[in-house]
Amino acid sequence: MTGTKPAAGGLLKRAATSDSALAVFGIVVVSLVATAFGEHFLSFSNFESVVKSQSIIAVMAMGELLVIIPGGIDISIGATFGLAGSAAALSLGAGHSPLTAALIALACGAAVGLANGFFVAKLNIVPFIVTLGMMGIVRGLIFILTDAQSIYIDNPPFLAVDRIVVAWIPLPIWIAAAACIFMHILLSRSVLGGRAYAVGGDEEAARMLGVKTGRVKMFCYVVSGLAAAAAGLMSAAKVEAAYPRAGEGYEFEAIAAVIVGGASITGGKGSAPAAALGALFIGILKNAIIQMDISQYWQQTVNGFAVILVIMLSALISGRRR
Amino acid sequence: MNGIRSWMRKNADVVGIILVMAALLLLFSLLSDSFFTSSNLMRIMLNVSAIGVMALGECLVIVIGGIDLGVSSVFALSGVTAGMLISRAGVGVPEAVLAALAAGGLVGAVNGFLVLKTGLTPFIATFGMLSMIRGLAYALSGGYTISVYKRSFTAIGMYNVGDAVPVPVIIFVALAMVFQITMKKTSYGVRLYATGGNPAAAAYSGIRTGWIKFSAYVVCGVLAGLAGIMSAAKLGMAASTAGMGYEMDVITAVILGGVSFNGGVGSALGVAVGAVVMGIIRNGLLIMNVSAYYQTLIIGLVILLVVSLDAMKEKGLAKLLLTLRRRRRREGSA
Repeated sequence: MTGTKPAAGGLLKRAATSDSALAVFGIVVVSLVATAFGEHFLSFSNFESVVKSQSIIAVMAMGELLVIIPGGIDISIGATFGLAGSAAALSLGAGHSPLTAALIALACGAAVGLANGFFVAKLNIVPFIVTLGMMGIVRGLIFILTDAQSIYIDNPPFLAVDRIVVAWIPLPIWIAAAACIFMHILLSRSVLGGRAYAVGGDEEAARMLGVKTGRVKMFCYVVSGLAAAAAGLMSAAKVEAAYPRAGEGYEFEAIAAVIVGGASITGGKGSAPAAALGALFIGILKNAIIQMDISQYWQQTVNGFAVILVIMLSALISGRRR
Repeated sequence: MNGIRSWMRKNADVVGIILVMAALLLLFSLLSDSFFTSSNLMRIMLNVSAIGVMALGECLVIVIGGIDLGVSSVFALSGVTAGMLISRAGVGVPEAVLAALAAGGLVGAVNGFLVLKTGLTPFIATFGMLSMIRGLAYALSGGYTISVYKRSFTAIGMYNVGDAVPVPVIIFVALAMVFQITMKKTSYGVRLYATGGNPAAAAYSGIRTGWIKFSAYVVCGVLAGLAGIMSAAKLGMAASTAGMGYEMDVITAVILGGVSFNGGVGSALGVAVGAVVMGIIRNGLLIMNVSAYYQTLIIGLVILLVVSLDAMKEKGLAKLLLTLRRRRRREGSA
């Protein structure tokens, strides 16, 4: 997907070495195993529910991908996710329209992203540290704003985001697909996308070529905050409430999706469709583990093992160390 | 006075966080009468001892240019291992403690293997281990909380030496000293910093960087295991859910302690003080009846403040050097 690989070696080899190959391979293997050992795995309704619930993670993963490509990382997205839900619920409670509430929530996400970008780009602080600090600040802010209470949402137009079905497919899946297409176009067709890869590949060289690396990074963090806020809104509509702890740990799920999708955590590599497939893989894996009746005690171990195995395989196949 | 000044010059990275600690101590002492008492200060030390011990191990790993996200799971695994061996299998306390430490070391060895031999980045490898080991602890304990009543075990967490200093505090302080001396005064320490600062140069000068890195992961695992034992002993019970999310506290302590994520910079003393600073903030806010909601917010703010000051200091220094060089050049051409 980075467009730098030579076409030689035939279609098969190209398919096997593409970013999506591993996620697809993982999805196929897990699905086969789950179909063989689980009773209810292979059904349309099960598949649809997995895709629908993972669409939230996929939207977050799109933002995380854009941060990881230029060599950054954003672990504050789980907190931003929670902040967006709480902000929307509070503004709905204050009598604002669903649209205003959603815009306020998205603005919160963009503001968090802007703050992250400022510290990373202007002060040159390691992204992990910046977003770790921001995670604490944002989560604390949620607790203060909501008094650590869950807020229930009963606004029908707002909840409709999760319920509407367009052309037989639930709206959240459409949203995730749109986010994926948007990110794919941004990364592969826009100047900014090219610059993001350049910054991740060799920041010094990019700067010498005249790329304003600080601005590129700033943009990426803002988009990441926006994506996390959008995912938070989708989730709030789904569970009909905003929980103060919503989204805790989701940052790692989004990062895992991006990495399974062939991105390199050191930057310069990755693609949007592959990251979406990565999110799907993680969803199918979790679902398969439940469907196969693996003892509850071993679920987490199996999950961690499978994710690490896929990433290790991708490191071996691509021959690149990551 | 000269001694202090030269010490400050040598340990410039630690001075900042020590000043922060002093300022916080002063602030909370002025704001509350019940803060600066020996029993409260000892309580702070007791509360930070487990995180502090883990942070010392994490410090080694970050100094060699890695990271270990899985420490909190090792914390749970070792507590569960010790608890199961003592309460269910009737193994003696020393053997159980050794086995739990060994479990921690084993996880560290696997981390080291994954990072050095498979080409996974430390972030990804230890992130995978985070959920794997948590699951293992869960499977071992069967999801039950294990009570441990053996006095010789609970003493590790509860006994007060001389009726004043709890054992965990002694362990934490002693380890901080041992780590500070090992890192600053021994050849192992030199090789550690060299490996983290510039692995290629270190390898060229004959340092077996692979083994140095491996040792850091193993030590980190053992210390996370030790912290898990200390905590299980303090509570008199072990659970697979223990320590969830502690990796963030541990990494925060390491960051506050002035350890660079690029490797090669940092000290055990700074990290120990960083852990204590977090404890002071939590305790001080609690004593002043500030709602617990503000804790995460304030600790997040402190992280950003400390690292921003550091970044600005470096930026200022770079600017200063630049002007000096310009001036010299101008004088040279004149």
